[in-house]
Amino acid sequence: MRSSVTRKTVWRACLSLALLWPGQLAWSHGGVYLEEDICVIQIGYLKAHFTVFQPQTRRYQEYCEDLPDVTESVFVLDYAHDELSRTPLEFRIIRDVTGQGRFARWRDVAKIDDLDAATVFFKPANVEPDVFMSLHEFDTPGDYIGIVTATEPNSGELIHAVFPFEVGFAVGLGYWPLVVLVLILLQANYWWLRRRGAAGPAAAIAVIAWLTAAGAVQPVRAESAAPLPSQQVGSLNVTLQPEVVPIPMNRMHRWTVRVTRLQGEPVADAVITVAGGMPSHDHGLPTSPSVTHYLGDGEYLIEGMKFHMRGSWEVSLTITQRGTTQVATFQIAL
Amino acid sequence: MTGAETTSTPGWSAAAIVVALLGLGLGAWWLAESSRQAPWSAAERSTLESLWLGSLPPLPADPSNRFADDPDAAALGQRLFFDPRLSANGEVACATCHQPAKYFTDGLARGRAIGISRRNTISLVGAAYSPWLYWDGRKDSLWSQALSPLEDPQEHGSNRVDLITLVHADRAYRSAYERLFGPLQDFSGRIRFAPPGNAGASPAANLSAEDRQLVSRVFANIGKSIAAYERLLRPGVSRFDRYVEAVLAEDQPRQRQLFSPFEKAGLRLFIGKANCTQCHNGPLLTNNEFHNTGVLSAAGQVPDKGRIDGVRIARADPFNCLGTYSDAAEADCAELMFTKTGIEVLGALRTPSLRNVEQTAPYMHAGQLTTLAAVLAHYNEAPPAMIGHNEAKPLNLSRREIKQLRAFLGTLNAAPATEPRWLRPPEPWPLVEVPAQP
Repeated sequence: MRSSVTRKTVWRACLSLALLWPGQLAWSHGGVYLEEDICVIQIGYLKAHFTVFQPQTRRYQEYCEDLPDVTESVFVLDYAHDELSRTPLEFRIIRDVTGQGRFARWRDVAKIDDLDAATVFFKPANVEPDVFMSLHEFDTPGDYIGIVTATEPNSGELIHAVFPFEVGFAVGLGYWPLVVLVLILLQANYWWLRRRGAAGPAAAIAVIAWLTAAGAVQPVRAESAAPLPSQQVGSLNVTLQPEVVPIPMNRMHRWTVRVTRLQGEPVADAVITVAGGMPSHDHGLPTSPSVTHYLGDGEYLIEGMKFHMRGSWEVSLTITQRGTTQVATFQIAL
Repeated sequence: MTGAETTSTPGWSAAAIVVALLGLGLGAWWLAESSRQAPWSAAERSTLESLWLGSLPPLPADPSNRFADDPDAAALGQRLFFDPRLSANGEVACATCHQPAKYFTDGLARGRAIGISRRNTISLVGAAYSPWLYWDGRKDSLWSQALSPLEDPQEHGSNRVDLITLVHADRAYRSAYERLFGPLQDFSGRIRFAPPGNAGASPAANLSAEDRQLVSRVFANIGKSIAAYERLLRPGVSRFDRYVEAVLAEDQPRQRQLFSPFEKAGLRLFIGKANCTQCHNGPLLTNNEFHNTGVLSAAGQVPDKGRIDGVRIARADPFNCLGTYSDAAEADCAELMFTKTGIEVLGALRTPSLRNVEQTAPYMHAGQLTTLAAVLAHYNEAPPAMIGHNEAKPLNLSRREIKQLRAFLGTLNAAPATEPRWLRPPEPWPLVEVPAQP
């Protein structure tokens, strides 16, 4: 018993090394490996970010392979290659009946006579745009093998990614002994300081620091939008103007953009696309506005503008005209 | 010795009293200082005004529904809303999940009707202000939204043909319908061979394309009547709104009377450090847009893809703003035409209004969190999302600050500003309208 545990530990150590090694070597037929701290599943030449969650017991904790609890587990494949969002993907989990444990490959799985008998979860092939998700509630601890099968779009060939994993390895007391130890250390430290008479001033300093922090002043938000100055990009002068002032919140409204040459001559044949967002929030505009009409005199109508929060926004116009493309970016404080 | 005692005692006690008074004075000063708060700045006052119910614009017109503001349509809609016959088992009405006494929610994690819905029931109070309905915004009007639960097998489990048959058979419904929408055709003869009690539109499958469209037209009109009723459910004036009025009037005593220092501190966090107004802005305390805030998936469900699916469904919906059954011109459908989608809205769900939030637990799209404290703890932590990207950032609020925010959220309760007769099942139809049966 003892020796089997030790052997398992050794295996696990070897495996972690194997996982940290450049993955493609270890899993030439597809599987799961770590790449710069990110868990990756390789399906043929296609890659996806691979994560398993046990939300009911482990909340947001991400797992790459082995799962601590025998419970509901959510498998997420976040596509690194867009092609996967158009590829039929099938997902199967089997009990490990190959006898190969950690080294199980597709050729071992292919040898299994009755795959269905060993299967505990099966999701038939389906195209999943955006992200691939599967939920399975495990009821027995043990060794399992996950198999993701993709249908190669051009040849129709099946590509398999095989990843062996263990469910229910959570044994022992978890982090609690560590917490208790830290508490004991802190308490011992406190006693020690008190004996030396240093706790009084230290505590006073801590209280003062805390009070100062608590009284810190709140940042004040900028009031309303200032008029947007015209911009000169390349040989063009660009003026962006909201139809409604002040710029409304949470309401669709229109803008106009006027494009002229530096001498003032209006430009009628520009192709303009609109983008934007809040750089500090890492998000774009809530809508997809676009130029819908040319109004004459170098003026174009932008429809579908909307802002859904206050703060610093950016609106950039990509203006293509006579084969050259220029980008004018406007800062808007709402 | 006795002399020394008598002379020293008054000196000692006087000193003790002075020290005690000094201590008390310092304590009182410290307490007063710690609870004293800076008055609202001009910028803060303008933010408060923007959240005030008094800033709510008039209800926007719904060009896709010609009957949106027709009182007769609202009266018919109210009857339909409270009528459990609009279901496969005769027990589920709209009001089953949207209960007037609970601010038109049901107090459950997920709606319970014939089965269990996928998501949490959203309040209908002020819903008419949102360009998008449902958590994922898969519907772009109230009337179109009202149609979905009727045919959802987990909810009403009915179908449009059965519903039309009911409206046709109930004389009162039929006359109310015909007064509004014109003659109602009898489909019962033509759908004789349809499988009975089937959910969805399947009984219409053996109708001609033209008849199917007629059936869907009547179905849409049922939705438009219900929407006309739902448009009457407006938010009421809460303690928070009265407080903002006092702030705008610079009436200090009234402010102190309406808000405790703790609630005021919570409000200051709400519009400041806690970043709540990034999404919960405007007088309904929602921007009605879609955000991924990394809420943990509900038990038994994979993470919700939210808006990215909602956009696909809304665009393909025959009952959307641009569809055959809409009364809107193309120019009135800007929200649908300029919708944004893409990986940025993966896992994004609609910001709910915070009005009555204290009374509408549990929270989040599948009722995952049961208390407001848990919701605030979630936003304080802002963990990485299971799918997509969590837009929120960790707030590092203290426990005390979280309690202050929690206290503020309790000031947003108000009964709907709607005539009481609309908030209960309508009186039975006047009997005189029904001719005697032979």
